Amino acid sequence: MRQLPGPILHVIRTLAAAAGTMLAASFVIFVALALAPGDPVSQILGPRASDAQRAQMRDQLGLDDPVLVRYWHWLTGALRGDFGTSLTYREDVSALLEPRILTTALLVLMATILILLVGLSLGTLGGTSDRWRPAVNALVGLGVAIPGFIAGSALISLFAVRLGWFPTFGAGSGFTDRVWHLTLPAIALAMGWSAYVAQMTSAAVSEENKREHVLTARGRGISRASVFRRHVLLNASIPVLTASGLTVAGLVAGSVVVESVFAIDGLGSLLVKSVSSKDYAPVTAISMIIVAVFVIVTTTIDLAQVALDPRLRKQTR
Amino acid sequence: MKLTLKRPDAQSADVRRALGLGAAAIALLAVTACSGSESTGNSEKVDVGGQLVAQMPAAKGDVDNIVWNLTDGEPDSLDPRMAATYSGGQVVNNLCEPLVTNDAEYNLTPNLAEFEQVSPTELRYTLIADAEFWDGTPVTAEDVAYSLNRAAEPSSFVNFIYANVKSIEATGDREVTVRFSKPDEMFNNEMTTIAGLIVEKDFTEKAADKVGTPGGGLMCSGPFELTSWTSGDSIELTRNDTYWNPDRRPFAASVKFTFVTDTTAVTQALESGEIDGAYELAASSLGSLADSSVGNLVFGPSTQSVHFDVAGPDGPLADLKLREALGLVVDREGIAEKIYNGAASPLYTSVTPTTWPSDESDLYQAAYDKFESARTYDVEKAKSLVEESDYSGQEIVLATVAGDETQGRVAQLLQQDAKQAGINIKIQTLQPLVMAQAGYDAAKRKGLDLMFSESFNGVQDPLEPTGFMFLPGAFYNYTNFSDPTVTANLVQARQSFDGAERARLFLAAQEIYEAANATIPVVSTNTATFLSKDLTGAITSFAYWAMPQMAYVGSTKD
Repeated sequence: MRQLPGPILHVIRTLAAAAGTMLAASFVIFVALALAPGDPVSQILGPRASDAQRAQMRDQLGLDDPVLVRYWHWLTGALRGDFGTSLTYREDVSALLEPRILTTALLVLMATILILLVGLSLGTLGGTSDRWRPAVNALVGLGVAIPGFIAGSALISLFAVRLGWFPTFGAGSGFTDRVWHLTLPAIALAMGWSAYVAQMTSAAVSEENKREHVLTARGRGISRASVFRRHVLLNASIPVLTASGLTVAGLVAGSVVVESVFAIDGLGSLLVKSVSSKDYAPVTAISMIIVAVFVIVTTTIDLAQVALDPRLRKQTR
Repeated sequence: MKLTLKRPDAQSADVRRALGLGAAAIALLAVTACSGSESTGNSEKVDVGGQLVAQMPAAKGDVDNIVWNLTDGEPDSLDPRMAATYSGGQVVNNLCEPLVTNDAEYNLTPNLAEFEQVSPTELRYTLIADAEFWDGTPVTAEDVAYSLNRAAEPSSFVNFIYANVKSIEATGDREVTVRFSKPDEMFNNEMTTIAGLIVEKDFTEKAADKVGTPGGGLMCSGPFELTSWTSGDSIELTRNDTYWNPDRRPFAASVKFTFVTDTTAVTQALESGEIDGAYELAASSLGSLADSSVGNLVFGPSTQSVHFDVAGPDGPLADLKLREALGLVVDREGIAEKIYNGAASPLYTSVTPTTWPSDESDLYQAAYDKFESARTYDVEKAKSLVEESDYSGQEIVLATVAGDETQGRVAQLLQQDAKQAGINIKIQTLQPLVMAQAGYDAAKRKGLDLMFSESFNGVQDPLEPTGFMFLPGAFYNYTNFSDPTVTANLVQARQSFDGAERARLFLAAQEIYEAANATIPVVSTNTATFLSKDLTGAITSFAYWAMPQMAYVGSTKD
């Protein structure tokens, strides 16, 4: 039998692992929700329904079926693109998710741009300049230490209430209005992660700076900029890429808190609302989106690393 | 009904939701919500001045747009018969109209129809308004009969209001007759709530399951028309310019309802002027809102109240002396002032004073005064009652909703005071859904001795809440209370159309059931309304919930 070439085999293995992760995660989420206390019917029918009404509703929704049967129904539906109907909204989950995905995606995108701009430039500055390092470290320490919801509240009271430059809540409508509404939330969301990326970048850059081949190159009189670009930045980019990728995935999960502080109606706030009412369909759908983002990002990083680093490429053979 | 409900107090990553279940109207509605930890920073006191206001001075001029926040969050449904939450009821009452309606002081008046109690078991409504649905078709007797029959269906949240109804039929072009299996004085009052809102038959039949959802819409005849519902973001209404009733013509050309639930976010949005007004504000936000320069904070009378319900017939609280002792260690004044920031008043009976019918309120007040003096905070008296009882220090488990800071603080205060009287209270927090389930499922109440409960009445009628608590087999009769005189009086009172007679029957029953202390009253909470300084006219009593409250809000200037 002919062996597939190493890199292709690696890609196939990575993709299979990604699919397996998604499947396992969906199972754990579904079962955990089923095992959590509370009856969603108490939310749908209200406190004055009769036992018969409740029993009928449970039957109609299939809530009395064994968990595995319900999971199977959900899985087969999901594979066909049908994520079910929300119990509380009485609407298709896809209709609920559509506008919210856009909001959360824009928020995450804006935060990502901020994180990359701020994190990479601060980190590079801290990693290359001895003069700036203490200041950068202080800023980074502050950024890591301040939780997003506190930063959010502080930003609102200064820039929205006091100065009136930005709105205090909501996601806005239309592109410009949305960007305006999401600026403060994106800053709040980006603060902690920018600091993290800056830390990683600074450490990676200063480590690469001390390497023998870098010192040698400098010794040979090659311009600092060129050494930095070809030897330091390229090698430092692998840990930085990993950190940034995880950051982006973490942003989707982190948006839960920031969306709540800024009353933005995105995936995060819908997830929180749905969990509290045990509304299976949106909870599983949103959880799967978050898991999918993680899986896609880590898989991409995995593959990108192989492309960037010849040593890794060799190992995969 | 009761309800496990909670006041909106929430913070960030949590959710608060009105699990609304509920029922509105008759009975109290229950809304359950959970909330998260709210910021504790604000302990300033709010000066209520002792004066509760039912409505702000009338508006003078039109405004283009009002942004109003639904502090309890996005409604689950705008289908009138399902809108039994704070938010759902508030919004839908601007859109759909009842046959009879209340004013801010709960006075009943004809609206779409006038009514005639033809006999104790027959009530006739005659359409008097020249009303049209938003699509221009007239409101007919057929639409009315359809709407009421639809609200009476078993799947409707409000079907219990129709428990004594035998039939509802259009008996003429403009006439609908409701026949009862037994007389029911409460029914007509309940028709002022979401249980009696009129929808268009054709539209509603076509929309079927989708009625009142963000995609399905609604067809009604109220002062506002539903323009859009962007799920998760806002609900927008525009003025119905062909509306028939000049008294309720809106001052605002449009209204936008937002769904901000986070306490800090709501406060900041109100202070920045982005949101013009809001009801059901969290106790912890009242301190800073009272000081605000951009708007006014007003407290109004409400039928909402807070109780500790005895959760089951067994356990240490089977001892009536111990229950009585617990009632004496509740520091109601302290709770109202320190925890509710003044947005509450001490409460000494199961039924709140705002629930008394206005005509006989003197009779009710005299009876209430006796309970007030007998139940005033007195740890020493409680201690001797505990000594006389069979109680020997067992743990008394009090359930509160997880994440609700106000409930947590009230429970802790009770715990400390009870300890001084020798009563050992353990606080157990339950997830909102679990708490809601414990409200109707005795199995889920196992192991609980007391439950924190927040409830409200849909109408001004003491028979509404008591019917659900003190009749054998009633929904919220957790202690299996049963007394032949109480049962006879409550049943008979509901069949009587004479207010004085009802007061006599009810007060005799109250004397008996209160002695059992099946529920320990804590405070009645006031409706807190915040409104921008440029606006006025808002209904500030809890009657807002069953009125087109946005129609009254307008400019302070001509």
